[in-house]
Amino acid sequence: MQAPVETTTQNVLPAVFRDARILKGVAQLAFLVIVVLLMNNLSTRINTALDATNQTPNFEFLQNRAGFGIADSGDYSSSDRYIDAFRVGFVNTIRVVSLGLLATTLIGVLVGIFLLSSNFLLRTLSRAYVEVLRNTPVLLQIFAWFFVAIFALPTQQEAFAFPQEGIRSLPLLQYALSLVIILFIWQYTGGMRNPIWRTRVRQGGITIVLLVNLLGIVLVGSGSPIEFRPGIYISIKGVAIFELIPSASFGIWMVFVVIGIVAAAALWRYFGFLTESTGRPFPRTSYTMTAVIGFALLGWIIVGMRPTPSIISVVDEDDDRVVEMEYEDAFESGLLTIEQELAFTRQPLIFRPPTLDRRGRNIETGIEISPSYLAVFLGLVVYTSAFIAEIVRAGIQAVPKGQLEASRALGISQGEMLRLIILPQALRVIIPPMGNQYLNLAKNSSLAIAVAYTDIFQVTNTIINQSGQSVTGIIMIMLAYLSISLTISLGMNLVNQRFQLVTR
Amino acid sequence: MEDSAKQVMAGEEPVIVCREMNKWFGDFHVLRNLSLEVMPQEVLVIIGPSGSGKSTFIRCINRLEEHQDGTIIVDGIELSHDVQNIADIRRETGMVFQQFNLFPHLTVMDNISLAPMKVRHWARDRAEQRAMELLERVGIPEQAFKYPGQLSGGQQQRVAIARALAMEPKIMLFDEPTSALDPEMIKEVLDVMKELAESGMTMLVVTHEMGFAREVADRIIFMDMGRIVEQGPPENFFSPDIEHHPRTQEFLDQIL
Repeated sequence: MQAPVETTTQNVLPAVFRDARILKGVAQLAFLVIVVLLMNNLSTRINTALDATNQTPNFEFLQNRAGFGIADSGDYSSSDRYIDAFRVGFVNTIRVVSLGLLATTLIGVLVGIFLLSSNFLLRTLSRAYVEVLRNTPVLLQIFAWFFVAIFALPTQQEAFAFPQEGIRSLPLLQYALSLVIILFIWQYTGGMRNPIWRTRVRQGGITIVLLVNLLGIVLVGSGSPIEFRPGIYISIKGVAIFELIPSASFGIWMVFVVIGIVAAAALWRYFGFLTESTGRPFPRTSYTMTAVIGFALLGWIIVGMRPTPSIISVVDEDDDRVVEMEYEDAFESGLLTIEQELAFTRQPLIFRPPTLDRRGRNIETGIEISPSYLAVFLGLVVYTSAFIAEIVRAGIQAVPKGQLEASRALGISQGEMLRLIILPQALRVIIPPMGNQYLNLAKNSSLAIAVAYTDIFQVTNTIINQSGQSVTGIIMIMLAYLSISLTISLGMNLVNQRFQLVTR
Repeated sequence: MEDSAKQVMAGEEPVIVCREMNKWFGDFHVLRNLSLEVMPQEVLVIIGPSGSGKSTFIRCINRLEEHQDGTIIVDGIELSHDVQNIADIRRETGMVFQQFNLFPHLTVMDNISLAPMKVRHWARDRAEQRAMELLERVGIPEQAFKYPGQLSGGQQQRVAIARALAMEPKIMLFDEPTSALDPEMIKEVLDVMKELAESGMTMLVVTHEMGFAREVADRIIFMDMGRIVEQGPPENFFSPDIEHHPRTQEFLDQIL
């Protein structure tokens, strides 16, 4: 026991106005009272002002007829309600944000890796990309895409078409097959232990394939003529892309695809287990890819074997009479209606190229992407990707050099070092700032108003101007962005938890 | 292992041969005409002032650094730009670093069993069983499922030794293995190394631990300015009765 120390202050309560605990409490209370009073004053003033102009905030007005049209709106029309317009805006925002996040991540990660490349040209170009893009305002970049890049495109009548229309002779099937065979030889020999034999088998296999290819061109000729129909048009009015419409036999084909995916998952697990228990490596990716592609092809062939009706009644183009004719002839002459084609075709999916309506103004079939969407999408994606590139570069550089030396000293290969040692440690550093950039992209999407893309901000702005319901409108915009941002945060937090290090 | 196995037999092939090795860092000549042979089961301790090229020398042996001139032959394989040769040599040489360099995102068990599974293609069971044996050998089997960040420095370095041994190397390289440790933890690591030397492992150790050098080394190499100044068995090297190279004498006067 220590001798008790004589104190004068320990057992005496301080004066109330000198007690740290009481002072803290009083300060907090005072702050709260001031905030409540200010808020109350503000809301009373707003309510009085709005009441005086008959604009009391409410949510009932959302059921009223909107009366304005929206570009990029799908099945919405001006006779729908305000709430429907709001929904269209929300969907449009999600459309640009979700695809934008995906694209910006891909580009950003790639450029980030290029920043560390040993290739001088690649490294310098990506450095220039990052420096130019992250040091100019995103609004400027969206304008640049809209007014410079897209306005430089040809008119709709002279649109760029891919592939060019026409009949060309190409031994396409042969090329494709050869490529597939080479890829498979490469992948399947990946598991061979003896590197010398692996190289021999690869070189031999590829040589044989190339020789057969040459022989094929000599023997078969230059291949069969193929009719090309453009699937993508690019013009000043945006981009038009072909549609793939599921036909009546799509369901049966999907069954094969699902079986293929299930088989692939089973193979993946089985060979993973085999590697664990025997130590032997297997080309798992090739096996699973083979299963998915194999079953999809098999399904396509089996679905294609079902009979089509021999005789079908169609409406003749010339005199609008119903005539009976051979199915094949009707198909060839293009007299089948889309419903008939969908019902009787041998393919699970029908390719429909983009076409213009009779007036040659609007897209009738196919998927349309407006110039406004393109400008917002490209602006946000490219701008944000510059920041992500820097984050990825910093994350990879944050992995200590000793980690690489330890893996090399153990004889771990370059690829496995990247996958098993560098990436898990780099991601730990990359993910939190990456989440911030994702949130920035989501919030910056409100700049869509600058190029009249009908996102939530632009649409609600119109709603506010028409109805005068500014308070409700702003609350709804806030809730919309809040829900998107919180979803992103939640996702990033979950991912982040997986990569945290365990320390003492 | 019995004492006879420790003896270096006459006529046996050296496991490491370096001839006329030269290396530069830019204009700085780090290693100058270095020639050295290491026999199987020999324990070589390399000492010298900092900047004398000791670490660079052993890092050249498993190609963490590239030598620019001369020959290095490890276990009969010549080190060159041939990636297959580099991979083969790295498989036969284990390395222990000053900063441990354990993988912080993997458990102790995974740290040790990773390379045997990925490089030697062992089954997981076998690799984990071997890892457990090695952890017992270095005295910390109870730490198997912890992460490196949860261990003390001495324990981390012992895991690092176990990780290198898991690849069943013929040669072990130690790059100042106790320099980053608290004084209390140095002994536990040196004890493991001593046991390893007694078991007949070929070892190249860069260290400042003179007690260890005196007790365990078969041969001591003294390096300065990228050259081997003097070498010999510890009883000669530390003997005041033998006439040393002036640079060696200067170094010994500082430390003894």
